[in-house]
Amino acid sequence: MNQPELIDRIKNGDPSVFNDIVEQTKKMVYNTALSIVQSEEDAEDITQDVFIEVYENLDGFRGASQLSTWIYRITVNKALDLEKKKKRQKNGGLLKQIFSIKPADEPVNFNHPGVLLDNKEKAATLFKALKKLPKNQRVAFTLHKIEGLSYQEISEIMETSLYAVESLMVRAKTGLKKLLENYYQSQV
Amino acid sequence: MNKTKLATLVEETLDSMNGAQRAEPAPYLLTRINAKMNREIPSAWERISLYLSRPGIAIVAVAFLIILNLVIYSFNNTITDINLQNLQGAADEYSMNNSSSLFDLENIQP
Repeated sequence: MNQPELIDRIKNGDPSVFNDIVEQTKKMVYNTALSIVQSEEDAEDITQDVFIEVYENLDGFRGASQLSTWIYRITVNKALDLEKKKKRQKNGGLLKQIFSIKPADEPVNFNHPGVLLDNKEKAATLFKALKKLPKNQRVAFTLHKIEGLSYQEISEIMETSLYAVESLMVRAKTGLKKLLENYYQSQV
Repeated sequence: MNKTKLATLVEETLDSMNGAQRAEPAPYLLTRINAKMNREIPSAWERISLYLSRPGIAIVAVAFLIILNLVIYSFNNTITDINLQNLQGAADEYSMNNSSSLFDLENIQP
């Protein structure tokens, strides 16, 4: 079933449309959340929260943007909100900060379940470097390289201009290259 | 590590997600979404008690109460001192503490 048909069903108040939206977009939502938060458990929670928000606001959706764009936007916002919340909790305790042995900003290794076996190690290194990028660059890079979206689609999701997305991508690639070079040089 | 090898390694890492398959969420997603939506919403009192039971909020509240008690206690002490001084002043003025007063019951001599 295509998106215009789904939008028509939403406008007509079809109660079964929600189940079809979940079935059609669950992988997209889960993968986007997973790439941003880099935790399967958190991605599951975000996926559920995204669809609850979609359900609650379905009546208000008028089809001004594509359904997938709207759902992507909710997913990205939810994932970033969760990250912010986790960071706040992590930095919250004074005692935790004083007695913390591990540096607070050191990302843990994440293995994406869909990556080919040969690329597992490199992908884990990429995800580790991605965590160190500013959030806008990270979102743009994730949506383009991992979700395969065009710059135009990303600009609609992030509600910014096409030029801004291009700029974010250039800065993200430059930043990642620098981080990866430093990482590999330190490994020798 | 030479520059060419390093550049190749970096490029390979940047392209490591090419050809990756999409991961799937755990089964019965719809059931879990429905369960989460039907979960009971806590009442206003429950939300307030949950908020107050947070360690940060509880510590701040206790500290505030202790400081408030100290302020009230010291303020009351100041008032009592002033009142005592006033009473003492009045008693001296009317010679109430003078044992040779005519109205002193203990002085039975004319």
